[in-house]
This record gives sequence, C-alpha cells and structure tokens, in this order.
Amino acid sequence: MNNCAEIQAALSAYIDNELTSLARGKIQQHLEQCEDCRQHLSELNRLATAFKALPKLTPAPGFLADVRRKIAGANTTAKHWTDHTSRVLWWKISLETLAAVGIFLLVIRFAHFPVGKPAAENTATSAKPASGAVAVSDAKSRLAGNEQMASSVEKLAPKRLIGGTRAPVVESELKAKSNRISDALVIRAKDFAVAEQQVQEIARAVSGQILPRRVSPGKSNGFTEVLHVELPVENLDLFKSRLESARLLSAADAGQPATAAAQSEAGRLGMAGGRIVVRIQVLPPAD
Amino acid sequence: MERVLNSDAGTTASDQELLRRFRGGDESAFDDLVLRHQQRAFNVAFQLLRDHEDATEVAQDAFVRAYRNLNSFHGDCEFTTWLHRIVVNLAHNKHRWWKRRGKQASVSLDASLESFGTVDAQMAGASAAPDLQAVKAEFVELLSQKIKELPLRFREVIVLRNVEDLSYEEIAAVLKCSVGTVKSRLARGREALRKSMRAVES
Repeated sequence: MNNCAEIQAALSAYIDNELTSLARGKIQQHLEQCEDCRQHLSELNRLATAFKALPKLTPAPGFLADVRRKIAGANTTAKHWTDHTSRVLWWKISLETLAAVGIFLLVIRFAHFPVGKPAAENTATSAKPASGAVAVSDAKSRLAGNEQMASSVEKLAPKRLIGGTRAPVVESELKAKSNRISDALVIRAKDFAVAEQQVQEIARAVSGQILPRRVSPGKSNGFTEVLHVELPVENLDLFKSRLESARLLSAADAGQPATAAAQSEAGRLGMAGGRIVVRIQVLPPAD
Repeated sequence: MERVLNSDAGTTASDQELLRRFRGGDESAFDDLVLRHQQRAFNVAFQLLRDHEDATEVAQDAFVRAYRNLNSFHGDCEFTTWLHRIVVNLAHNKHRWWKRRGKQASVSLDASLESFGTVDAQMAGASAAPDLQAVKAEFVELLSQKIKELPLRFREVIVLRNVEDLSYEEIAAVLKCSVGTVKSRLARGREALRKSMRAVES
C-alpha cells in the first residue's frame, strides 16, 4: 500500500475504523505527506457527515394498525392456502377470477354498445346483473355474432369456471367478512372518554385495537356512543373478562355468551386465528 | 403506549425478551417490537427506494413477514439484523417490480459504476469550497438526489453503514455476504458517490 490509488481505495475502510492497526498506521503516514489523499479523505468525511444530516423520516401514524390489518388479512387467506397444491389452485383461481371479471366488464360494455348481432337483446344482463353465471352465459350468447371475440373469451376463461362458485371468493371478500361485526357488548360508564381510554388499554393488552371512531346518531334510547374493537377471535373471552374486572362490563350486560357464535362464524369463514370486530355500546351507569 | 394490565412489561425489555413473550402467546409483545423498530425499518426502506409510499409498504410487509416467520427465526443473529434482511430483500423485490413495469425510479438501476461516474454537471454553478465541518443543506439535498442514482447493491451497503451505523460484520450478516464484499462495495459505492457529487459541484 504505497501509491495514492491504493491508499484512496483503503480510505473507505479507514474512516469506518475497519482496518488493522498496521494498515492504519501506513495510511496515516502517507496522509501526512500527501495533499491529494488528504483532500480525498476530507471529501469522504464530508459525505459521511452529509449522510448523518439526511432527514430522519418517521412512518405515518397508524403504521402498527396497518401491519395488524395486513397480518389479519394474510391469515384469513393463508389458512386456506397453506400447502403447495392449494397455493397453485389459489393462483389459478385468481387468474380465472380476473378472466371472469374481464368477461363481466365485456358484458357491461356490450350491454351498452352491442357490436354483435342485434338479435341478442339486453335482457338477462339488466335483469340479473348480480348472477355471474347468467351474466356470463348471456355474454356468450351476446358475443355469438362476433366469432373472433367469442373465441378470445373462451381462451380467456375456461368453460368449467364460468359461473363457478369459487372464483368470486377473492381476498377482498374475505377481508370484508373479517371486518364484519361478530359480537356486540354493552358497557356502562359515567364518562365516555374515560371508558374509551380503558377499553383501548384492555384491547391493546389482548392484541386488539379500537377502530377509527364512528359517531353514532344520538337517539332517544339513551344510546350515546359506540366503539368498535378489532381483536383476535381467541382473545374475545379474555377481553370480556378484563372488561368485567375493570367493572365496565357487568355479568348481566354480558348477556348470552356470544363468543361461541362469534367463534363458529369465524370458523365458518375460515378465520381460525383471525380477527373479529366487537361492537361496544357505551351507556351511562344503570343505577 | 401505556400498558396497565401488563405492567411487568417494562419499556426496556430486550428484543429477545419480547420474542420469548410473543412465542409464549403474548401478541402485544409483537406490537412492541413493531413500535420499537418501525422507524428503523421505514427509514432503511425509504433510503433504498426513495419513495414514501413504497417504503411504507415495504416496511409494513417486512413486519408481516417477520410475524409469519418468527418461528423460523432461531436467534442466530440479532432481531434487527433479521429485520434489516427482510427489508432489504423486499426492497429488492420492489425494485424488480418497478423494473418490470418500467418505472425509472433509479436512473442507473442497470448502469455500471463506470458510467455512473460520468454524471453530467447539470447543476454546475452551485459550487462551494469543500468544507470539512459544515455540510451545507444543498449538499445534503444533492446527496439525497445522488443516492437514487447509485445501483442498489452499492446503495444498500452505504445505507446500512452510514445511516444505520451497522458494522461491516453486521452488514455482511444482513446481506449474507462476506466482510470483504462489504468492504469493497462500500469503497466502490462511496467513490462513485464522491465523484458524482464532485462532478455536480465543481
């Protein structure tokens, strides 16, 4: 390590203090005599200082909640499609769902701007827009006049899947189901804000969270405010018992053990280990 | 974050302790890990991608992946090392995704370092005598522009070293490469950066 090129190549490790003391000593010796290499070193140091001055960015608030939502969403589908064959199937179905959606869009387009034979009237589509099977078969008859288009549609979506019941079960639907309210509770508190705070702490302790607040209409039934808490289904009992310990939920108000129902619904939706939403109505104290 | 019911969980619990609690079924321990490391994960993702939205997505997905794979994490390295690795891998995936869709986030994504050095001096005129102590705001701004143009394999070592303050060994553990590779990539990456900054400044 004698010439400037070698010295300069080693300066990066030098500023990081990642050199042996021998190599370090050689560089220091050289630097004392070499203006060029000192300049090089000062530029590298300046770069390092500039890195330190880069603004430290903070993730947006709600980062954790988003992570939790993603985990919950991932679980609902992942439980279904764990083994390899299922994954392949899922992938195929996803593609075929896309194809089905494509056909549906075609149907809508042709319903408005028919390009095939005018004999294919706009009947079934408008009558039953919700039924995939009817809409698709109608689309095929509508497209019958256009050979080229029809064959491309056949290629796009194999017949066996048209109108199939599995294709529409897409992730967004599972997500929507997982956000469905699975249980409802009534708690009693003098002060809503205090109760909200307590519920939040209890929810957090059972890996749950209060969802963004919806302001409820203040109707005559003394109904004041409602909180929605999202939590893992298996923690529902724990959550309730903690609400009871905090004297927010009385055994009477807990009512029927809705847990079983919630769990069976979660099971039906394939949400084992998934998250549910509990609606909590906050009422003034009963006495 | 207040914790009333788990008051034993001090704010100083180590990552290992949080992992142990999480494996024992305490979901809130994972939340604590996220809260503790979210800034780090986000910042690294941002410095690698220079895009706020994509960095958020990558950092969040890194935690989702960590959550789902915590059982396969045997503690043969620090949790932060493991997390960094996931973030870097996901950033690479995002890069490939951009590439496939022709998003030119990084000008010289495929450019060699050789061509990287010859940056045209479009901002010439903003000259300043190199100053060891004070680094001007414009210089920092220029740096954040120039990082973008650095190929990702160089950017990642520089970010892990200069932003995250990891040692060469830690960086090697994150990237699963040798310390020698880290050393040479750092030297080459910094040299490229130094030249390109200089080309603009002078």
